[in-house]
Amino acid sequence: MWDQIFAAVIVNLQPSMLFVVAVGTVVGTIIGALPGLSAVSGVALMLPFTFTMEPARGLTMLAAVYMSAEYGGSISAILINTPGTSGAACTLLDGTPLTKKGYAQEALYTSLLAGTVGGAFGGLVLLFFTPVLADLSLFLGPAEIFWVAVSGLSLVASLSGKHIIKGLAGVLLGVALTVVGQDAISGDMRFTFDFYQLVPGIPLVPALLGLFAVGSILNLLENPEQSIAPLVMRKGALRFVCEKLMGMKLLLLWSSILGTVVGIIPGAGASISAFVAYGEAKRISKHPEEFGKGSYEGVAAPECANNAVVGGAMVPLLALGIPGSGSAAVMYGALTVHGILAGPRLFSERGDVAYTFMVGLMSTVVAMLIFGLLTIRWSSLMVHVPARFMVSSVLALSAIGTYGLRNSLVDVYVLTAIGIIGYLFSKLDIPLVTIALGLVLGNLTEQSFQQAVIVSMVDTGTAWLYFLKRPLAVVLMLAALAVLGSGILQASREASADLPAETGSAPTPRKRCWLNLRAANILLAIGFIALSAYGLVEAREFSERGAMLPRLICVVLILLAAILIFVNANPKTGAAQARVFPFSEVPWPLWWGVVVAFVLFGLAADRFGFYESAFVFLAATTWMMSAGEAGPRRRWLNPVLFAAGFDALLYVIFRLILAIPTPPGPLL
Amino acid sequence: MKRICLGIVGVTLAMAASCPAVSWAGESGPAKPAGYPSRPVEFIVPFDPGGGADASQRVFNKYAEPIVGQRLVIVNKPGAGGATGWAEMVRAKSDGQTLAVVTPPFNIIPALVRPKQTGYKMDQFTNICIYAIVPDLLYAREGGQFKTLKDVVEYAKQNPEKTKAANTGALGADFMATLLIEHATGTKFTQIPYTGGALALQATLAGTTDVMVGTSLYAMAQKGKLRALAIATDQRDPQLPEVPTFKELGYDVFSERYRSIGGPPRLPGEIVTYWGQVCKQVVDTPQFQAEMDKIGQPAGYRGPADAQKAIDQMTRDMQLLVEKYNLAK
Repeated sequence: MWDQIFAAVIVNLQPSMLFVVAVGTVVGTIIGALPGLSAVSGVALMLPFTFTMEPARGLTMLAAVYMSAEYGGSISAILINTPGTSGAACTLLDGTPLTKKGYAQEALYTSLLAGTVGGAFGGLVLLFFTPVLADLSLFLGPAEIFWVAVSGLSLVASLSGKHIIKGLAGVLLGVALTVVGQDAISGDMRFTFDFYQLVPGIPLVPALLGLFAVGSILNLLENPEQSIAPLVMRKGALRFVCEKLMGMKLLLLWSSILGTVVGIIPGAGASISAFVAYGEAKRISKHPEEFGKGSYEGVAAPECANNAVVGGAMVPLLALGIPGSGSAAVMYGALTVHGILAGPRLFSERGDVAYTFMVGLMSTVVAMLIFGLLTIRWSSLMVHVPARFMVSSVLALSAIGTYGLRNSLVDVYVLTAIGIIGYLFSKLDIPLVTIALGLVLGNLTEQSFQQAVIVSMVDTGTAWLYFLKRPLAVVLMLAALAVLGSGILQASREASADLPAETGSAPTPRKRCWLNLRAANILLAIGFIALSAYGLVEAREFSERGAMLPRLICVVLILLAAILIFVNANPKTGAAQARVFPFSEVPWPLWWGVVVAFVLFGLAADRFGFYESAFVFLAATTWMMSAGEAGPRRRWLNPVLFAAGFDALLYVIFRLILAIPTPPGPLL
Repeated sequence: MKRICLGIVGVTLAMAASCPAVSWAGESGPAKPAGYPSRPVEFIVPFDPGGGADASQRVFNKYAEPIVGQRLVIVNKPGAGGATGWAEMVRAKSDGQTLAVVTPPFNIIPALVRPKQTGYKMDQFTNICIYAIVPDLLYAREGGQFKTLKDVVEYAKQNPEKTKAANTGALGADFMATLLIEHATGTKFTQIPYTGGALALQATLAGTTDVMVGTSLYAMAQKGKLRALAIATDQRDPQLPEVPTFKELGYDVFSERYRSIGGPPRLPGEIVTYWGQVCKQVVDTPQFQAEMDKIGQPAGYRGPADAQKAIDQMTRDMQLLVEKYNLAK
């Protein structure tokens, strides 16, 4: 083995190899940072270029894209509260608060260094433990995967903080969104309303992007003059972060292990690992109260885990021929096209390719680190951009990134719809992260449960015995219960700790508005009940298996809504809510203007061309937000110039470089 | 004035289109319709990059590009087992600039099972050619209880619904192929759906499920882990001479998947003919055949008329299964 590794190191030091790793890293970081396009799309976009390369070289380039895209996703998450990849959805929870406090650079360094640790850990595990772990991955049946998914969902308790009822509702709504479409288990068409576009279901990345990016961008409308945050360029930021990370060695190790293991599990990838690592970090932290307000641990854990996934996902790919994640599936395709069959015989027949690739994975980690260190100073300048330019550009970027994911405009509509809903929900204190949690884990939970039940019926004659017959499943079940239990403890502690603070300091005086939080909560609960009632009626059409989860969601949601109504209608507990006006700061005319412009942009893109519509959208939105600017030049000319410039930039990146086939128009 | 101009343009175009051979006479290769293709041709692949149909179409395009003399651009539009991408394809302009890889029976099943939620009808496809024919095989885990097809059938007959078969999603192509095997052998399995081939493979290797249907790629890649019990073709596969056919074992199971090229409805006849010839030339290339063998998707040619016939036959076979097992939603 050592001589093979040595030979692989020599190959990896060849200039041509270093070159492809460098190219892959640059492309991966940028694609990762672009909202919408995620690691999978990056790897897929680079796939054709590898066909003419030597197999190991092509594969290493794809790995470089995969690895650095998982880091790149954190850049936009930290700076503009927009998850660049689905694996970065947790990073923004603490990354954005850090940026708001002026610690953007520090947060970026934390993400980069933690990602490097995780990536290196996953890579080492891949290099030295692949055969052992590959066999281990064959012990995973649907029961085990179900409990892993449940322990993920159990994190809702620690993720929702003091809004536990709304957090639970959020996770249910997230899972409910994953129910839409054709059920893979029963084949039922659930909530498709006879639209063939809804048959594949609600796509994850556009939904996450809508929740976080569109939602937070609409929040920026409240003060169009400001930039996102002050940026303080501190000397010694890197050193400060290094010291911080040295203080959390155990956390980094645990996150690395979690990431690698989740990577090995078939069907689970970066986004799940990030949630699990974030939840665990909060659970075991000495300062759980800092989470969500700018905790370095909260940035380090998910970023460490989502990079560790890369090595983990390669274990079953190389040893068994089972790609464990979407990106790994594309790499499997790359191997196949070269006529190399990933599977049990890969190491004996093409050991050279396997080892060159595994060592190459380590060099992609180094490349990611170097490229990150070189660019962080510059990328953190992004927070200086004034909101009036930020709103239009992030929306346009999200739209084209989402489109590029599957070359589908339907995904852009999903982005818009979920973005608006997410914005309203965030105003009503529903923790968006719980919706994301449900979205990420919904399908895995339902499918593994139903599979386990079918297996159980065949093997044991009962629907549940299989879950208890397997030792590993029982261990994981206990782990899920432990996660849930300690999360509940933490949440109750948090709630009681927050209570005096809340009553002591009066909430920031806000303008009165026609809708207070109490009335809004009751309306929300009525909405939940109506939605659930509709769901229950629809579910009568489904098969027994397909109807189970929708029914469960509807019933629990009705219960939660009842509690919500009870708490708010009660004069004692509802009085405080009546003094809060969630929508009082919203500049409605501007809000409607931007939202309508965005919807029109999506509709017009199909007919008048993507870049033509984007120009009009960019100019119009920036103009709307420049109303307070002095002088016609700043009010009229700047928006048009900005729109032209940014549109040209989009055209260069997405059409000329990435060759994404957007709908053509008369000009472009 | 405007109308006259348009008329003149139209007449010119019609004349140009009606005498394709003139400008291209003397060049080798199939006769091109005049001015076609004027720009890169878009190929919709309605699956994720890296999948089986994606791989085969990329190999095909590599050999077809020099013949056509234009770039053939792959656009992945995954969703609903291919149905989303085909729905977009049948809505494209019938100018031959948008084509798609069509993989019967994947396009046939949704049209039969859930016509209301499928964005196309079978008669909207212009079937141009078939370039690869991928047979189905039945697999079991090596070292498990099933060594031969006979073992499976005997066990399944004595223990109805106790044989667990992994498939790649309810009402998908694997699901149908498994049903066909149950039907022909007079057995009843319990099918367990997974989301995609990788997860079904994991389940079978892990022993969660007993058998699964798959292409010959697994026989090569998973040698020593998976055992091919039978192949659903008329003759044995020359690459897998040790694997018996269902027919020689006494069961009438014939199940293949096609890699074909399809276009929107009312695609001009000369474009269809042209692509049929391109397709033939590609399939006749020995390097193409070798590459397709390596990815487990053996090359095989059916021209426009034969492709239509083969797909119609497959549609009728599927229709019978749908009715027999009452699958329509």
